[in-house]
Amino acid sequence: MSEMDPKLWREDEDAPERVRDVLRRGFETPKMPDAVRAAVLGALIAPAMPPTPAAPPTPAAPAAPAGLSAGTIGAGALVAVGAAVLWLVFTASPPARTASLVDPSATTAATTSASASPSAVEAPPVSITAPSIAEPSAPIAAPSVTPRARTSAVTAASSPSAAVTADTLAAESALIGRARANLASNPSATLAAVDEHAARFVRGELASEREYLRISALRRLGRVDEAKTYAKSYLVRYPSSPQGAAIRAFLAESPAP
Amino acid sequence: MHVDKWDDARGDIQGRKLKPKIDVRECFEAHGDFVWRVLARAGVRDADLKDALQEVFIVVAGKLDQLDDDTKATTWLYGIAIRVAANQRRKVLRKREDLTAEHDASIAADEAENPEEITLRAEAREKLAEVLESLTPDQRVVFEMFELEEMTCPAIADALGIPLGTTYTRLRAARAAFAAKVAGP
Repeated sequence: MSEMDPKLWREDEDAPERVRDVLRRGFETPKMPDAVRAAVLGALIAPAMPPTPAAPPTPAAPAAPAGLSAGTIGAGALVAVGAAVLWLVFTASPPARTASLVDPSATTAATTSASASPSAVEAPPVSITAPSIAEPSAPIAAPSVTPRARTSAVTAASSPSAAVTADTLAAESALIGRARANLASNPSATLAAVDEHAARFVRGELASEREYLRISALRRLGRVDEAKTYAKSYLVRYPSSPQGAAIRAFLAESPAP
Repeated sequence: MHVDKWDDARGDIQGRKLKPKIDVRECFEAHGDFVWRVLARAGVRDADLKDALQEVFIVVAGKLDQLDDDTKATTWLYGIAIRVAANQRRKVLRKREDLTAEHDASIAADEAENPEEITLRAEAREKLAEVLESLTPDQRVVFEMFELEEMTCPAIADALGIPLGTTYTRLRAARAAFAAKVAGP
């Protein structure tokens, strides 16, 4: 039996109530304030180097500039705009998108190596319920809403630290843009950008786009087994993704080994 | 104590092929947020997070040249972070025996947030930290990356350099241990 990712436990109705409670309540961590980032970066500079002018280490006051709530709203709007723009980019180029998944040039080495993992399953399953791909657990509203976005929407009122700064989103978008731009000509560069995004913004607003690009790039590189492994996890994690249909089609293309 | 195993895991890496030196600031820029979240979830209080974060990267700066091709940065950083967090937590627990609630009051100055809410959040994190501490390091990192960092299992396998099947096995074991701890006394 080849295993698949289970649902996130805190979103799984079959998980023990107390487990879900501990996970949900402990899940939200404060976001690193910019002042802390600046102060730590400052402290990591070798003493010989000139101090960065933009980063005065503020002693006691963490980054809560006046008008935080206004900034939060602004950032929220920006996220929405950014997501919308990205969604436009995605939908505006269906040929590229389809090509990335249906590209026949990559199918060659596909079936040969069952490569490493799924066969390396070790112990018999205990009591984790296998997820069913076809049943989205929670309705997801907007096209590119990620788990992060969902949670921050829920907790925005009580947790201003969850607000996304415009800078963060810009950096995310730049990386995802780079990943996209390279997909046709240089999928390895796409993977590099995807990895960088994953390292810096693992739960970023654009995480689902990132994972979609990863699957497309792997597919183009002929790493079909890996692409399919990621594809299956993708469907569990983002059950309502607009890319879901394309991914399912890709998975159906040649049955997994 | 589970966390000590992280040292064993890295004990023999000297003398092997070393990576070209990475700048500690680059490392911070790439992984700082991850380490920050790991520290928070490992029970470090808001007021102590900055110091803990800095401590991690000071350790990192001193050991970056030990990071070789076979060691994944995420695994390595995670190990350092949960050790620093465990030390911090012990310090705070000791201090709290003397100071009781004063510590919480100082955090409240932070933002225009309800102090009660902050305390509740701190308690929730403390509870999570306590349960996470009952997992083995191998289980814990997989569990945390899956359930709390929201990475998919293939991505975790990549990040940790372990087979996908092992990732699933560890997640399953971690969940069993987690549930047992939560249900326990």
